[in-house]
Amino acid sequence: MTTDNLARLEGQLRLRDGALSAFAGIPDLDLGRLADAIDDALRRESQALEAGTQEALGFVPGPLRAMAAKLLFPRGAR
Amino acid sequence: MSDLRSRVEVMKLARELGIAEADLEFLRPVDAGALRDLRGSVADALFANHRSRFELLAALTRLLPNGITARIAQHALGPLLSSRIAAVLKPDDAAGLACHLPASFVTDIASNGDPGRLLPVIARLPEDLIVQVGLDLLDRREYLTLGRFVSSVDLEIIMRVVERATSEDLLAVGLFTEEPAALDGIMRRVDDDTLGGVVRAAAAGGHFDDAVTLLTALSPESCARLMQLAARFDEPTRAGVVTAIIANDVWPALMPAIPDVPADALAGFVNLPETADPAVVESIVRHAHGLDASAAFAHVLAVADAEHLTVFESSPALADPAVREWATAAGWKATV
Repeated sequence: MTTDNLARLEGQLRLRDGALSAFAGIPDLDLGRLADAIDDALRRESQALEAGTQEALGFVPGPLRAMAAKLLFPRGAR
Repeated sequence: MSDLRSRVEVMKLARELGIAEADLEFLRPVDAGALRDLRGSVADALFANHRSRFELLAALTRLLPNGITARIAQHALGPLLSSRIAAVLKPDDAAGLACHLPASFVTDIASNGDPGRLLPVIARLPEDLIVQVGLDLLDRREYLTLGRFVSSVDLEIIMRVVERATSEDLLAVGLFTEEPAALDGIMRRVDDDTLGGVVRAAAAGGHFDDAVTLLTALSPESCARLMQLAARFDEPTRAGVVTAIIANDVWPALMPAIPDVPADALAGFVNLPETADPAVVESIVRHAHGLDASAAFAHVLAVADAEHLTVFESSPALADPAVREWATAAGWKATV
């Protein structure tokens, strides 16, 4: 049986419906904890990437910094 | 056996997600293969989610001298993001950059990296750097990382690290190695003292389940060699191994190795009080018949003492005409 959180996991991981059928016996609450853990990992990595990219700019020599900023933030300077 | 392998997979998934193993304890009942697939999907999702950003940072490195990029990796990005970016860099560029980083930071990257994605980079790294990273991982007792990288590194290079490893280290690395063939390649090269020491280490730490996991990951030849070495230990140690074999029901994995275990060594396992349990004998007979492991069955019978043969004789499995016919063809002779 596909539970709400099993479907959520398959969506998070971009898997076809039923790909995680081996996990159908796990209580839905626990599957929710797993899905939350994946969301947390994605969020932590996003935050680290955002901070790391900003910090990286500080190491770029002055003459190249504008070009680097345009490269790293193509939708506009942060 | 599935329980042991599932435990290892849960540990690896927890590492991937940056959480404690205990937080994923509820996944332990799931088949290890399904957990491994899940881990791969999680790793893919984490990587794919920011891939375009990693590629932009990789593009930045092409504008900068390696020295500056190395400082950015260490002081701005850290090892996890650096491992992600290394995977989208041209392998030659990533390997060149690694040579500008302190070996300890390359070790940090290895601890966070996916060996599969970094394989082309690893193949281009200087051998001495790989060995240094391997030794750093040993010092840090980063067995999970070592186990994952074993199959991505040339065996000759691995052996330069293994020669500095203790039996305890080997036991732990063996638990996490993803490619049984790579593990077997290592075990074929280590001397008897070191390999036998794996069993001593398991006994000292009460890690018989780990030793059995290792046994079942090896080729029949290496498994037989390890059983032969383990047979030299005292009865409590042999009983510990057998108890773990029984508890994890790994007879099917051991059957192919049994014909290659010398008779005196095999007798040291077969004739223990633990194996005189009718339920254990029943399990052995059923598995041997199910796998048509007649050579293994015949070898066990040949070394079993009178007490154990009596238990075999009373096995309900041997009352089954089909099993009895098979057992007789394998050399079974009713003695009672």
